Amino acid sequence: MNPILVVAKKEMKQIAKNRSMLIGIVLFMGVFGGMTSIGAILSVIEGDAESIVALLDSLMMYLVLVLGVFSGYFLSSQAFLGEKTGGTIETLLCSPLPLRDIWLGKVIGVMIPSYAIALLIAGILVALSNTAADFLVLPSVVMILFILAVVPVYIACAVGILGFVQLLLGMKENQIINIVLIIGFIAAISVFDSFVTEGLIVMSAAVVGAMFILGILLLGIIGYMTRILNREKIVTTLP
Amino acid sequence: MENVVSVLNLKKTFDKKPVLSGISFDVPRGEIFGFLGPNGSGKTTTIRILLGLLRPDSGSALVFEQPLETSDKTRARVGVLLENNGLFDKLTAYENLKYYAELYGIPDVEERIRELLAFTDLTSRKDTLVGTFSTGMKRKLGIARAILHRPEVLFLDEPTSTLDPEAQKMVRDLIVHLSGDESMTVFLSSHNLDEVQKICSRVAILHGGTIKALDSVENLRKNSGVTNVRITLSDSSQVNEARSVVSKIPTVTDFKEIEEGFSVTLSDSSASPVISGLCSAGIAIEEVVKDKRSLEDIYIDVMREEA
Repeated sequence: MNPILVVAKKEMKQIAKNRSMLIGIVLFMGVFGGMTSIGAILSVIEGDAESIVALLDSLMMYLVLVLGVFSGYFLSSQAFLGEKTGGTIETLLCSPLPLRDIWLGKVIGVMIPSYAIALLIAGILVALSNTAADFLVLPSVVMILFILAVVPVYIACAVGILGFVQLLLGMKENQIINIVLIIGFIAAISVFDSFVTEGLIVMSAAVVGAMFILGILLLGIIGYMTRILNREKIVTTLP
Repeated sequence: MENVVSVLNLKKTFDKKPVLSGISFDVPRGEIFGFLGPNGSGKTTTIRILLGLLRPDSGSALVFEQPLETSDKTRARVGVLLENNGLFDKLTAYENLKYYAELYGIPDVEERIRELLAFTDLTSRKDTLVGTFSTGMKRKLGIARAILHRPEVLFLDEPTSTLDPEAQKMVRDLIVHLSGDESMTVFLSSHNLDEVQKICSRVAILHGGTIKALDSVENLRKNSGVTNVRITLSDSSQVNEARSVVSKIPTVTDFKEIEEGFSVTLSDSSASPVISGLCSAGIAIEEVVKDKRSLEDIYIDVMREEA
C-alpha cells in the first residue's frame, strides 16, 4: 500500500477508536445543527415544494460545509497536534516518508471522516425535510454537485492549513492561530451564504465549478506552503 | 572497515548557547557504540542531528555517508527507539506493528510481527490497546517496532530505562545478538554504565558539548592510570595500624575500610609498595585482589575533572 494511504488509514482507525472525541463532535453537531435548522424546517411545513427545496438547499450549503469544516478542526487536533504532544511524531519523522507525504496522509485521514460526517449531516437534513413535508424532498442538482465536489475540497483545505500550522508552530501559538483560522473559515462561509441568501450570488453549476477550482487552487497553495516545513521546526516546537 | 556513522566537527547552538562544540567520532559497521554523558551534555542533540531531526550549525553528521534529513532511502536502513516509544495508545500492539511494517514496506508482515511479539513475550497481548500496557511492556513493544524492518543500524536512547532486570537482560542479549549474528550496528545512549560496560565495544563520554573520552572500555581502564586494590588482613583488628602505614605511601590516594581489611586507590598500577610496607610493619596479609576499574569509576573521574 502507498505509504501516504498507510498514514491516512492509521488516522482513520485512531479516529474511529476515539469514542470520547466522536461523542463530543456528535453533541456539537446536534446542538449547532439543531439550533440552525429545526426552526427553519418547521416554518415551511405548510410551504410549497419549491420553497421547501430552496430552504433545504440553503441549509445544506451552510450547515454541511460548516459542520464538515468543524469536524476537520476537531479531528485534526488528534492527527497533528496530538502526535506532537504524544511524542510519536519524532519516530514517524525517522521513517522513510518525506515530510510532505506525512502531512498529506494525515490530511486525507482526517478529511475522509470529516466528509463522512458532512454527508451524514446532509442525509439528516434531507430526512428532516421529508418528515416536515408530505412529499419527497430532495436537494437540487446544483446542491448535490456542491456537496460532492466543493465540500470535500474545502474540508481538505481547512484540515491542510490547520495541520500545517500545527506542525509548524508551538503549543501556545497553535492555541491562538487555530481559533483564528477556524473563525476565519466559518466567517468566509457565512459571508458567502449571506450573498446567496440576498440574491447577490445565484447558485448554479458555473458557481459550483468556480468554487471547486478556487478550492483546488487554495489546496495547491497550502501544499506549496508545506515546503517551508522541516523536521527541525517540528522537533523544536515539541511540548 | 566501513563507517556506518561519521560525525565530524559537529557544532550546534540553541538560543546562542553552544550545545555541541565540535565533536567528532566514527562508528564502524557491526560495532555496539556506547554514548554516555549526563543530562544536558548534548547526547540527545547529537542523536537528533544524526537522525536528521535537527540541522547542524556546522560540521557533518552522516549515516551511511548521507545526511538522514534529506535521504529517504537511507532512513529506511535505520531503526530508532527514542525516549518516546513511537506507539499509539488507541491502537493495539498488533495494529501498531502493522502500521510501521506497512510504512517501511516489509514483505513478510504477518510472519515478522508474530516473530517479534513472541520474542518480546507479548503474543497474548497482541490485541490489547497499547494505552493499557505497563511502561515496561510499552518499551518492549517499542524495541520490537524499532527492529521490525531489520535495520542495518539501530539508534537506542535509554532502551532499558523502564524495564525490570529480566527484561533488561533480554534487551542486552538482543543487542548482542543483533550486532553479532545480524551484523547490525548499534548506537546506544544510556545512563546504565554497567550495561554499556557489558555490551559496548567502544564508548564516548560527552560532557558540556565536547567528547571527554573515546575508546574501548578496556583501553579506558588501562589508560586511566588508577588502580584499586583490596587487601584482606589475617587479623582484621590491625586495620588502623595498616591505615597509618599505607597513608605514608605517596601513590596511595584513597583508603577505605572494608570487611576484614581495607581497599586503597593507587595513582599507578603497582601494589608492591603497599604490600612491602605492610610486611615490614609485621601486618599479616591474607589476600590481595587488584580490581579492574569499572566504567562507572572512569565516568565519575571524567565528570569530576570537568567539575
